[in-house]
Amino acid sequence: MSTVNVLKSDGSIQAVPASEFASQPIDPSALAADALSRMAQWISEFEAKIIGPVSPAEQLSWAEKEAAARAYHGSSASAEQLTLLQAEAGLTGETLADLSTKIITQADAFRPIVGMIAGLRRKTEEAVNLAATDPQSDEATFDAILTAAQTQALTLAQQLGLSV
Amino acid sequence: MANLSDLLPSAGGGGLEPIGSLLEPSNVAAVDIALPTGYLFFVLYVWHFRTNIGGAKLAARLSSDGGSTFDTSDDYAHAFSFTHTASSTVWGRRTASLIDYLALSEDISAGSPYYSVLDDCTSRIEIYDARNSAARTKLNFQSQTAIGDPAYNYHTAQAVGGGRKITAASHDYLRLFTYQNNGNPLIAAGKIQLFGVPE
Repeated sequence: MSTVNVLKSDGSIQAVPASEFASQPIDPSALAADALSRMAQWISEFEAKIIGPVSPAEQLSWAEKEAAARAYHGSSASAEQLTLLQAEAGLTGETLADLSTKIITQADAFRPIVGMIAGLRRKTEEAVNLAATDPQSDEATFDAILTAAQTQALTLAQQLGLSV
Repeated sequence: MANLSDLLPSAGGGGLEPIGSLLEPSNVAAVDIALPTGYLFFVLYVWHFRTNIGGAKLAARLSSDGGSTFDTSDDYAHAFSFTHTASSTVWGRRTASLIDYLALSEDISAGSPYYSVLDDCTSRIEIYDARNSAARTKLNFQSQTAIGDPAYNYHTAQAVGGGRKITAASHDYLRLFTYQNNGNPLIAAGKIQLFGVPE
């Protein structure tokens, strides 16, 4: 029977069975689930910092507004699209041309951000899921994956001129 | 201006007093610390604590038979929060579970470059109701340790939490040990001193 040494508080050394210190099994899949949850929370906070205080309902209208703005600039806006733009312009006092230009500018700036976040989410999920299949993975493994993703997100955001 | 000693409670009058000698483990699997009677509660200080395998975790178990055996079943209720700050990055981990040990820290360094940003672990562990057979022994801890991330030059990691036994019993020994899911680390170095507040 193999033994290991234990230091007692009276300063003596006692040999005890090594089996008492068998490695504690850690389930990497549980750690992966925790890591994915933390990643989702962090990305939500990251998105909120970039997008600002916009309701989900308003976000859903963005694609429609962009299509209307592009149609307006192409002189092909339908009556429904003109109504959509006029409803906002009527409140802000902007001309339809100015509003459409602003919408297109914002949409063009937002598109790479959305792509970056989606790419980071997928890349990180893949790394986490891969680590979950490795029995050697522990908390530090998943922490390192998240740290790398966060570092990359911050770097990409700075490259896009965003302050987060 | 008052002397500092005037402001501190004196030993035996409600202040902390050292129990036993300073322990300096060297390449041992664990440190077993006697918890004598006659104290309201204990505080265990651990510093310059290092393991022979990087990324090890520090944990504790309790004994009620003089250190002959230590409770290992799912008899500890446990909560653990881990905070990592590096540049502008902050996140936390919170776990709560029934477990067969009380975790006190993680990512303890072996001095290798990967884990050695803070290069050792310090921890303050409060132990309540250890010798009260009618109460559940409770531990609170605050640990400062390394974090396994080589990307930053300056950062800190802090683990806080606590736990208790599910059942009431008098516990006369506490075992500090390290573990890892891919090895059995040894406590390579460190200093450990138990203090207590006398009844």
